[in-house]
Amino acid sequence: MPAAFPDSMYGRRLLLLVGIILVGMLLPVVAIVRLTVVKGSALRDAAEDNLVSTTWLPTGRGRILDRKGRVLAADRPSFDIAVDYPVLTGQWAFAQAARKARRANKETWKSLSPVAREALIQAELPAFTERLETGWRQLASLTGVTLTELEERRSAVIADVTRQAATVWERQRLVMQRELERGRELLADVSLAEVDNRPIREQTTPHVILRGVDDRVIFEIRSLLSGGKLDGGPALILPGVRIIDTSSREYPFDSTTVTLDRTSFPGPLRSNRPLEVDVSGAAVHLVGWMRTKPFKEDLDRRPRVRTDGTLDRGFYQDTDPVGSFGLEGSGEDELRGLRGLQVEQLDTGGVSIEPPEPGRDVKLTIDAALQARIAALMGKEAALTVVQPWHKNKAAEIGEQLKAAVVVLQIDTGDILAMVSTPTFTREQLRSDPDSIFKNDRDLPLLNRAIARPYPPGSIVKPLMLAAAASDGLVEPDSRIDCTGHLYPGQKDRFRCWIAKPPLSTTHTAVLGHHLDAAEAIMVSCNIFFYTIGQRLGPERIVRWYDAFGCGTSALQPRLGVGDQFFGVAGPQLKSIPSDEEEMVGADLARSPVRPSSEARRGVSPSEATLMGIGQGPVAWTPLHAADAYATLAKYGRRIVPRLRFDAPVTTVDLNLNRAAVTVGLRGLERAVGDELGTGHHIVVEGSRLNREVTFNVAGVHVWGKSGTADSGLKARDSAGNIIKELSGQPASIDHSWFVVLAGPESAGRPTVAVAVIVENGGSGGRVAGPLCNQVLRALQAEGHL
Amino acid sequence: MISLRDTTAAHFGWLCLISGLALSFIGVAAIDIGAAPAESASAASSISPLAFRQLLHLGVGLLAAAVVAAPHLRVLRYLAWPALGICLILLIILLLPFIPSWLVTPRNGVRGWIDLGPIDLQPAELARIAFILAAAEYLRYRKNHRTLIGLLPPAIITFIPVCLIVLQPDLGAALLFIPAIFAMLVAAGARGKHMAAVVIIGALAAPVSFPFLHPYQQQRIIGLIQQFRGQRGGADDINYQAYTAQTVAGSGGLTGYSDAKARAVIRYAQLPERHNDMIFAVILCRWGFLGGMAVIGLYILWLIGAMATAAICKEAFGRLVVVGIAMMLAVQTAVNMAMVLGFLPIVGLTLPFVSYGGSSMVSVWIMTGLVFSVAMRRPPRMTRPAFEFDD
Repeated sequence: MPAAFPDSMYGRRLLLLVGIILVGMLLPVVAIVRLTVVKGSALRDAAEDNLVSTTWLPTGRGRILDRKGRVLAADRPSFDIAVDYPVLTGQWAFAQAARKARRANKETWKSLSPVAREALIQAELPAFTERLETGWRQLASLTGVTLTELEERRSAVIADVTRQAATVWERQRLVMQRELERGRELLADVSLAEVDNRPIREQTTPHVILRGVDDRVIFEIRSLLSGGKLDGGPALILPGVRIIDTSSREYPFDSTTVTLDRTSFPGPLRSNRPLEVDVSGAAVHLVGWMRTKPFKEDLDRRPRVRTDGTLDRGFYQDTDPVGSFGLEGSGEDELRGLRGLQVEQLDTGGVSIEPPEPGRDVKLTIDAALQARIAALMGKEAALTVVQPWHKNKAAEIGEQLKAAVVVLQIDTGDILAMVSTPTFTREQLRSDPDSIFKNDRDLPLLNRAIARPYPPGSIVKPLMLAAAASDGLVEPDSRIDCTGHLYPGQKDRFRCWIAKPPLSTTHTAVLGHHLDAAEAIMVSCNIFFYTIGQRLGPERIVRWYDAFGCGTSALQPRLGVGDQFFGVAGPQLKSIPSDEEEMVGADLARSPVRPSSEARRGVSPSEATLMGIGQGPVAWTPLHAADAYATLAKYGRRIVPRLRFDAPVTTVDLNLNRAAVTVGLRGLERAVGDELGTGHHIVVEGSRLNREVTFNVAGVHVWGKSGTADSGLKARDSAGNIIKELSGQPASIDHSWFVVLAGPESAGRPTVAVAVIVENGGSGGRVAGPLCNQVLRALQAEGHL
Repeated sequence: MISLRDTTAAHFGWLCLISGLALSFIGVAAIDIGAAPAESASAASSISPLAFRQLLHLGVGLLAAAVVAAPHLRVLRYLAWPALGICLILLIILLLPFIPSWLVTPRNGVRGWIDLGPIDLQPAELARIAFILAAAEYLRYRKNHRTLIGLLPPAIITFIPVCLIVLQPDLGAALLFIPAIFAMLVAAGARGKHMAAVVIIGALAAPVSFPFLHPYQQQRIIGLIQQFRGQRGGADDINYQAYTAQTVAGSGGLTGYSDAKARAVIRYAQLPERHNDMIFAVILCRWGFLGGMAVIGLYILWLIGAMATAAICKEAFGRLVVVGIAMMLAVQTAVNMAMVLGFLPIVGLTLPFVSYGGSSMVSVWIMTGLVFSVAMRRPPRMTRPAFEFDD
């Protein structure tokens, strides 16, 4: 007899198996406890998240406006129409017919032969084919596109997708073949022939067939799509139609036409025939542009969920355009709106909507029409920045277009009315040939010369130096100085006055017949007078005064948010300057604006301070600095930091300038353009003193101005590369041409605008920048600013 | 033939029948929850077509159970080898390359079904029953399986159908044969050290087999390792199904969601195979921890019924059949649950009685019928002692 259960072997073995089974069942029990009890609440949240469908609703980006409300940048609603690929190919009709046939013959379908099935499908097919054809006709009539055009676009999409599919399938086939050859798959899941039956993604997705469709048409199609019937007509017949929002950024003022009155142009450029100039990209440096997708920095800066756990509706998605440069870039956070959020409870159907908040508009102080006018004046057609024979430019060929920049400031507010830099570039160029902008080392079109290129100030600083020295009690406003042609009579090659150079080889004292007072020194731009001022100020004070006028380390720098800005340097930050005035720093600055050298740390030497008295030596600034400093002078030392946006705070600082000295300085400026002896009074256009033309000729406008011919530090070379010599035998330098004016309506009796003009390598300030400056004043008058 | 009195007498077969029925009805309810769209949840008067079809499957399954329970075990013994032979032929037909695609259509890449018009036959489901019957027939009143060489014939009996099913490829179904034969050998008195050696060799061989797996199978194992490491990698592809199943399952908490809410959660979670391999997640979502425990309790009840039947049974063939079936069903249940709950890689295995599917339902009810058949036949007064050895 067998042993009694469970003492028998069989009994023990059964107990062992029961034990194994129970242990095996324990595993799920533990897992259930872990999932439902331990992690239950978190998983419940995760599962219920699926019950909520959140849809982000698009928002609009704010506009960029000029001071008169003209739209410089705005979103333009734009829509594309896409159609599902199977509808494009007609495969949809076959699929629908097959489905209908299968449903109608549900019971017998499986037993039918493929031929019989095909016959049933074919019987259903015409109705669906007919629907597609009618649908295409309806779409054509809705959109105003001909059926032939639609057909062509369909064919183009199909051809494209077919090509892509062939490539993908070929690749898959090769991969499978390799797998098979390696013997990994005894029986492949899908045979090689079946690869072609696996649709690629593009064969299941919609494709755009109409771009930039009119809003009205989109509205109609939307209402048809949502089942609404228009005028009692049928709903949208074509299946698989989708509307894609492709709103784009438009820059309506980007290209404009300006008519220039040339009757007041200098000599040979004058004409009674107005000149029509197409201006493109006049404000592209300021307005900036968008890039098509965010960088990682953008995604990190505005993640969907902030660190405090709240939702940022302005977060970036992978396809969001982002302001990339200019105001579009710096104003990104204001311009960018907040998306709306639609939350739908899928199980209950409840919907809550947080409406989108469009971005704020950004209003600029710029007058776009003025900007365009000035850009037109600086263009090749107007020829004011093109080298002319009377320019006597040793560094450039006649006919060569020079680079230039203009800044116009409203004195009472610090508003920048215009800021133009040439060469510029167009948006089309940005799209089609970015290398011509970003890799153009010769012209540097991306560089905004009005604010980012360092230039030696040259003689335009003279009235500022007078005010500075007088304010420090180092010079009396009515003091006089004897211009001997050389600061140090024993050293004729150093610290010369410009008038002492051949062919004039004289002194201002000789020309005027008496020692110069300060106003006369400004009028004739006497170097000796201002070397003396520089000497008296000395290194420490002169650096401090440059700083006070906004050039250098001052914290009161206008931060415009339009790309790179050069904040100016005076003294220590610059490379050491040889005491010889002929070795200036402009070119070095241009290459390496703020790189301090070991020598720089020693500070400014007394002879450098002397040079800085005439705006040379270790000092560099930009046209914006020049306009800012002159505006400060016009307000007797009350400086308003320039601004480009109306919402920028107004920052004011008083330099406590000596009023008498400023008055003398302004008188000097007035005489510089108003007195026959003034360096900015006239130009000689045909090389004979008989063809003198007054530089400033704007009726009803009073002008205070100063020319500047700033040594760039580079030597002029001929086409063979040899250094060109002056009459004196000294190498001829390449000079930047400056002109800065304060101007106001005669009725106002005081300046209301400050204009700074620089023409790079232009030569004489009076001959080149002066006439351009005069035309800028005309433009200001034309636009109602004077 | 058996008398009505024997059928209705109290025996452990009833435990299997009742727990099987309870599980089947829970399955129908879960299929309804998983399949019906949320909108129709309020229309409690009707159930989804899928659930209704499952009810039909249950009917067919019960009928099949009755059919196999009716004849004496002796008859089944005679039929065991021919049945296995037929099943093997069907399994081979599945793999023949020239078989027309209207007869054998691969589903998800698996050549596992023969299309017989109104019904689809899954030979692997029938093969596992035939295999248990044949193995039991082979092992009854034998001693040679107590030697190492003697283990070879049962290994071959197992290896042939397993290979054919692996080639389909249906690894999950194939792997069930191994614990079944293991349990039958243990019950039949195979030496402990041999069995231990087999287990150790199997455990060591498992990692070696990794390179021979299909890429998708390798991916699932890698995915599981990622899950164990707590990495969320693959949550959108290889681990998508696993994470979704765990989320749905865990969301049920202690007592589960209301009917409507559970339907919504399951529908919008887009859980793949929710009426089939992943149905246990649906049960946990709807009835929570308590529901899960109840289901496991019902399985344990079924297994206790079967093992008690095997314990009482004096007839060698009956014992082995019940032990093989019990172990196969237990492993299938545990593996399915472990896979849903994220403890094992996802293999295509249904949850017995509960998952949707005709072949699967009929197969488990045939097994239940076999257990019932053994249970309701009282032990003969004189029996030859089986599987009693000295060590």
